[in-house]
Amino acid sequence: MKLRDIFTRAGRSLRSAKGRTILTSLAIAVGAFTLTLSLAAGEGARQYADKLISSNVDPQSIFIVKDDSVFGAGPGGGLKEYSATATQYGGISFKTLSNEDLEIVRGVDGVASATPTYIVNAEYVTFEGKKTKYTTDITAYDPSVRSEVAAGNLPPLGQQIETDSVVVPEVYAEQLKIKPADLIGKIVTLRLVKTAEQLSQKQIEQIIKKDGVKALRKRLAAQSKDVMLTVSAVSGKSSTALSTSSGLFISEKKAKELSDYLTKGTDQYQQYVSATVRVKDGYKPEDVKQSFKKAYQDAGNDGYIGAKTAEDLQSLLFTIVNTLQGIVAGFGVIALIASVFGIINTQYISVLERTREIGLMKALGMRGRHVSRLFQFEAAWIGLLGGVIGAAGAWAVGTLLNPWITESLSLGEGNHLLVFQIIPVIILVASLVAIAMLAGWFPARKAAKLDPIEALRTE
Amino acid sequence: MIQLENVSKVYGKKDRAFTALDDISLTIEDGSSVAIVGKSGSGKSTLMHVMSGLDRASSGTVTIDGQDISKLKNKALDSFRAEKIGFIFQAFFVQANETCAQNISLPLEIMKVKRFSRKKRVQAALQAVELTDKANEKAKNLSGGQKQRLAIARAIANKPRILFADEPTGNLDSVTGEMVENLLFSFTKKLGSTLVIVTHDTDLAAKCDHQVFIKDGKIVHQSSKQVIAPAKKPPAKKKVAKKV
Repeated sequence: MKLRDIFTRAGRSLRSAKGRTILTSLAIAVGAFTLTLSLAAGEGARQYADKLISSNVDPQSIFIVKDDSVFGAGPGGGLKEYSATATQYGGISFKTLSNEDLEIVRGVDGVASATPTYIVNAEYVTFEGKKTKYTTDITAYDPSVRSEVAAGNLPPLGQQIETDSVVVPEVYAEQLKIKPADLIGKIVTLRLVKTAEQLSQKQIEQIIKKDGVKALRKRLAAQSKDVMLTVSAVSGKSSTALSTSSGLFISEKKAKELSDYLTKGTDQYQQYVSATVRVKDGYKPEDVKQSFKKAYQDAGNDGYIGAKTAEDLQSLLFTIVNTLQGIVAGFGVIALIASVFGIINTQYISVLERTREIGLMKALGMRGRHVSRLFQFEAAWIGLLGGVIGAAGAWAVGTLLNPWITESLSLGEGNHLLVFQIIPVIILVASLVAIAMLAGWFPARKAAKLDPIEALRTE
Repeated sequence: MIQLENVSKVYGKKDRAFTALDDISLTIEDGSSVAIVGKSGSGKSTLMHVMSGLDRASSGTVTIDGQDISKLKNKALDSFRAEKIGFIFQAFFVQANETCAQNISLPLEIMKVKRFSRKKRVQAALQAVELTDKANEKAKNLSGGQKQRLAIARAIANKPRILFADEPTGNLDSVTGEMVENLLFSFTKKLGSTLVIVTHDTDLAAKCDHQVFIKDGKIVHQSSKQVIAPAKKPPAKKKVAKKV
């Protein structure tokens, strides 16, 4: 018997038992539904992460640290070796990068610049016309990322903002109940409080000897300073830009100045938790990253430097996405295993019900192999039907739910959590057909081995 | 020509052995019609199964058209049945959920007849049993007589050399039964095929050229309208028998 004829016969006998066929394939459909959704969610999350990183991180940049725990070891972190050059940030102590470290990095072939991350901890900030004191993060403006502008002007990509200007995020304007356009030109005052100098016993003695106790008291008292900056722009809300909500942006020059002011005289002076390295065009960040270690060895320094390229950050996010996707897919696989038993069961019943039909076919000279194939094809049809129902259902439900998911997770316009791709879905359905055929093998073998005389005797 | 030589069929082993066929020798000439007559349990159905290649003899040889089918491998035996044998059963065994045309198409599909000629042969078979108007009707909607006519159409679609009919009228009333009988005889005559009818109906048996009476797995009596050719007859006389 020809394959095509067996195939049509398989389809026909399934049609004549519609109810059973559909119910059996629905079991597979559940698995297909879950797996399609997990594929779509994985793809969507990856695309979103990709967008997130590429709109926040310059692909030609490398993020360097002295201490790998900056990359998300989380708070606590257990016992850590004491280091004189460690700094506290967010309650966690990190080893820091010194200017010496940065010089070594700058000396590496392919590095255009190495800019430390200046931490400016203002006691509070005030906005012109408002009495309330606020606290906020203050970071240096990153010229490699172009933010959306709600009001005012930002310099073109790659250029710093004016030294005495500040960029305010749109959310702040909302909180202050001031229209973004009205904020432009307003003064923002940063109140900086400098911690006292840490003087050694010897230094104290010297000061007393030289200028008296009064001078010493002055040196040890906390100093404060108000820095006034003009709002030059209000950055717009962007769903994929991480930086919009992170705080005030001041110019790099100002950030360095303030950071130096705040830490001068302490052991954190010119010590940085992290730095951003710009790689020259034409150099691969990955290659440059590899050279850092060698540069240290060449400098006769056994120091360590942790580095992550934009791609590394991406893969970090992808690992999380993949794990989540794996969990969802796991449920799909369990559903599939259940449906495999469903297929075996229905096909066994089908073989029993159709004993005489099988007997007749064999009496008419149909090969056992072909009888077996007939039942396997029926299982394949069930797999195909279930796969298509499940995948199409997931596709439809996902497409319908996407706008709602985007809104409730505030992913931003044009971003979807569920991204359906035709090729993986086709591969999924094809493998479901294969699995169904495998499940159909046991009943099919029973059918093939049926003795036609016995079968025809059945009344 | 069907030639059985010392054919025995034993079911079970040793002390539980049951002899269904006991040393049967029989020759059936091409184009003749033979009735195998016996009560239920006499072994007449087993004899038909062994002759048609559905079952294998425990000992002895079954030679059809010069080919010893007891020596054929399973695959060859399957294609032998597909090409040379037609079956009609008491319970019809038509596929209720398939149309008449699809039912008739089955043996042709098994024989790997091309789609185009298959269609023509299905039409011809339907016409022969006067079911052309029922071509696309589901078999379950047919009456008993129509079902058996459909079964006949299916059996003759591949133009078999030998047609085996197991109690073909057993489930039919006398009028439709007679109609089916007439169909069977006229087809085999037209095709020049051999017709073997297994029955306990002596009226039907009387319409055949030869009658073979079976009891307890043995041939107890043979009679014929003409002369039934005994086993081990020299091959030269085959022609003579045909002329008669």
